[in-house]
Amino acid sequence: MAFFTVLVLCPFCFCADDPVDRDYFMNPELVKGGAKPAPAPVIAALSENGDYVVVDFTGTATVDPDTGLSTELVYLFYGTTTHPDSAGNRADYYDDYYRLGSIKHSGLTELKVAVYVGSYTGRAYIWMTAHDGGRESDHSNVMEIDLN
Amino acid sequence: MYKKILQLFLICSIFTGTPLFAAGNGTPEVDCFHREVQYDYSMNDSGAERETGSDETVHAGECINNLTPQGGEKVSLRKALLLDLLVPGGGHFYTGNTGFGITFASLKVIGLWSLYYCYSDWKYRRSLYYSARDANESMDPDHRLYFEDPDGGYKTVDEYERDYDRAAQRITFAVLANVLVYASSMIFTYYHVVRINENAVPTFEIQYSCANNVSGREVLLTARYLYRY
Repeated sequence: MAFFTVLVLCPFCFCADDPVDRDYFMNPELVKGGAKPAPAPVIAALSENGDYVVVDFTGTATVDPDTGLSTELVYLFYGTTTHPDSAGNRADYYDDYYRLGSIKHSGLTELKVAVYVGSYTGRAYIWMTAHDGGRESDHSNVMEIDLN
Repeated sequence: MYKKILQLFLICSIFTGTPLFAAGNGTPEVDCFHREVQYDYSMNDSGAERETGSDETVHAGECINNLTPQGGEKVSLRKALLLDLLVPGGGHFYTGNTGFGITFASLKVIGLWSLYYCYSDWKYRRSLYYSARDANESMDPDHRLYFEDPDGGYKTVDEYERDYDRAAQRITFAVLANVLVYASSMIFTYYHVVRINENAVPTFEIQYSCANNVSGREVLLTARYLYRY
């Protein structure tokens, strides 16, 4: 009898959670990183330096809205040989496949970074974003450069 | 094949007057052959029962026709299967198999609970996936957002979708397991009912025995055959 009592009570001890509402995740607090960094970075100029492309994003004023600071941001740099819009997929702007490198804001003395591109020659398209550890900002303007 | 031969042998024995031992189930008109023989069941020197007789072959038989019928009551197969289907272990308890009843009752209760749990979990995972998908689409469709999992950590929409698919798989397995348990239980119930009903059939037990007692030597032949009709 005791065995059956335990058996019947078990379901009440180990029951699944109730379904959540459809707008359960519409709360930014449940999103890693909270609000995304804004405004988007701005690339002021590109220049070639050997196997590197120097990205000057001096005009960037991106901050993490959750803290109001930019010190915890990481800047991500992307590059392709064709314009990212050509594929018609906006997600390409944030695809790891095109990422050239990243650098922490706290490690910068000025908003200018040399990105390694190797011995590639020809036209290259460069853009960047800022990441707060959880969310990524919108992409910057796309700049092109002819590498020799 | 052997049964048929033995059956024929017994029938022939009856008609040729060979002594038989027949135990009936209460039918008083059972034909049997009876011959009185002299037996001495005195104890020999070693304490063992000793049977003495002349040097001729003796046939011994006795007719007992006032025995009570062998076998129990019949049980309803339909009722047993219905009980087994509706009540966990019901069919086994009905047929008197308490061990099977407890085992299958436990399996069925656990199986039904797991089915309920898997279904509830599936609904829960589905709600998380739909909510995450809508939120990602609404808040930032260009990025894969990481949403806080109520169980801890963060997951993307793709990961929530994977959890949802796994929950659906678990339901499938739970259904299959329950079908297996119910089918096994019904097969065992059917087997037990058939066995009980077989034993409930009125039976006649026919036994032939022949002792060939020669001085100094003893040859005993016993053939036993159970025939139900």
